[in-house]
Amino acid sequence: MELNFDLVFNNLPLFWEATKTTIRITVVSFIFALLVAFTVGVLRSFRIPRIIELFLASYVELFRGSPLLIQLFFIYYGLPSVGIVMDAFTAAVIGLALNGGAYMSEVVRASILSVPRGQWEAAFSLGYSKLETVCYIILPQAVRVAIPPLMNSFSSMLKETSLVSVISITELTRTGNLIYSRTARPFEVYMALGLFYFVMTFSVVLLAKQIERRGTRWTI
Amino acid sequence: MDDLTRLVEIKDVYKSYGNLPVLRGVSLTIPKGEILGIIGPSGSGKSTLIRCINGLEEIQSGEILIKGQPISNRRESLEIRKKIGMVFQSFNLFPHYTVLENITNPCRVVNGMSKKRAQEVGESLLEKVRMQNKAHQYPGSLSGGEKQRVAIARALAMEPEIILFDEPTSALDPELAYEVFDTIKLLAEDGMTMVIVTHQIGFIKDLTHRIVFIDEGRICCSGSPDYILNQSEDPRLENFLMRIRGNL
Ligand SMILES: Nc1ncnc2c1ncn2[C@@H]1O[C@H](COP(=O)(O)OP(=O)(O)O)[C@@H](O)[C@H]1O
Ligand SMILES: [Mg+2]
Repeated sequence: MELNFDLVFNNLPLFWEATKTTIRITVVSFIFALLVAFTVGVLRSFRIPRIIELFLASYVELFRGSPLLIQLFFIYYGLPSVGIVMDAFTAAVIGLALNGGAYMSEVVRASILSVPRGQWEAAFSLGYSKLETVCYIILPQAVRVAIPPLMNSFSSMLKETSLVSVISITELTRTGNLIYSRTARPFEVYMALGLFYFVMTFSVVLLAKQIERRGTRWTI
Repeated sequence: MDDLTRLVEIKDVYKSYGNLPVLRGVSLTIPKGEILGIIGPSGSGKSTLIRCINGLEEIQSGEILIKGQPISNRRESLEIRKKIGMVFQSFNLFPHYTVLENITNPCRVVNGMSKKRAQEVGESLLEKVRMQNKAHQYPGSLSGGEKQRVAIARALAMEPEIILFDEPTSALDPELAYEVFDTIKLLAEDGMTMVIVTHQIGFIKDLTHRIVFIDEGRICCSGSPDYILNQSEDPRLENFLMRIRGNL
């Protein structure tokens, strides 16, 4: 069988639209995931009421311990049974943000714990309140530690958006599937698809390297 | 002593970590203007005692009053806590702020100073500890002695009534330790109330008004530097002095 990549080039406009959708879902989900991760991560690095800690810990373990695919199915197809209906894009973002947020909250928590105790003590003895200590002293140092692993989470999320094709969002993977069913040329289609994802994640990796190399003005 | 001159009152304080008793009935009064030295074997509870004074550690029984008010790690004692400066063995400067910002940030955040005013305060304090030429460097690039002098300037920024020093020079080479003690002497000239935990008795024998010797969580003896370092015949103190002098 002869390979024919023309069909990829002919469908470039479609792929381009789909790529934009993938990027949009990734970016929106990642922003919400960051919000979730920082809220949960900061709260969990404190002594908080047991009931809240239990709730947050269950959230993290549940979302890390079950497949994203099932979470997406549940949100999009399951929740309507109890009267919660939403469009596919919203469901995708909620699923990705809660799933990513669970993983990323652990990154945030570990980064906060990596800031030496002496920093808390110095702030405490200068009269910073808890909140002021977190905002001005701990988080700026924790964020520096968290950036490389969070960039990693971003590229993971970019690849995982592939799964939202199952709740009928026409992003890159679903577009590939559609073109395949029209042309019956899986080799070319999926090769192109893989390449598109690779180019995107590799750009993120390069960006992360750049950021790490530039570093910050300060050192420990 | 009337109430005003009794800056710190420690009354029969007990403190343990889990099952480990660390302070076993410590009572101590520090009048305003006093420079108090604390010596004792490592593990005897010196750090714990001064960390209790500024509320970093909670006590199990007894009472610690600062100007008549009880200290704790709760919000209510935030105002008094600000007035108790602390200088740590490991400096604990904020690595993400410049030397100057290490002083201006607490001034602005904790004391609500304007940017301009904080800048002025910061610059004059850095001049006092002779660090003005490194104002815009990050702490990571300073020597240990320089870090500790900045830490002292930062403590001064809160206009403390008392400064607690927990082995401020133990992490430093001797000549850098001199630098730091010169700075501490400057504060002594200003009449600052200070508590200094150290093993370097050579430094504090002329500086302090009183020295207490702590052993196994109790104040074993206290008195003038001359009495504690030369005259006391307490066997545990003699033993301790012999050991640290042997090391010098
Ligand atoms: N946070 C802590 N948790 C448990 N034990 C501690 C803690 N801090 C200190 N200790 C113990 O308390 C004792 C006294 O410690 P410390 O006050 O630091 O002594 P010093 O400063 O005189 O060397 C030591 O045995 C030490 O191991
Ligand atoms: Mg100690």
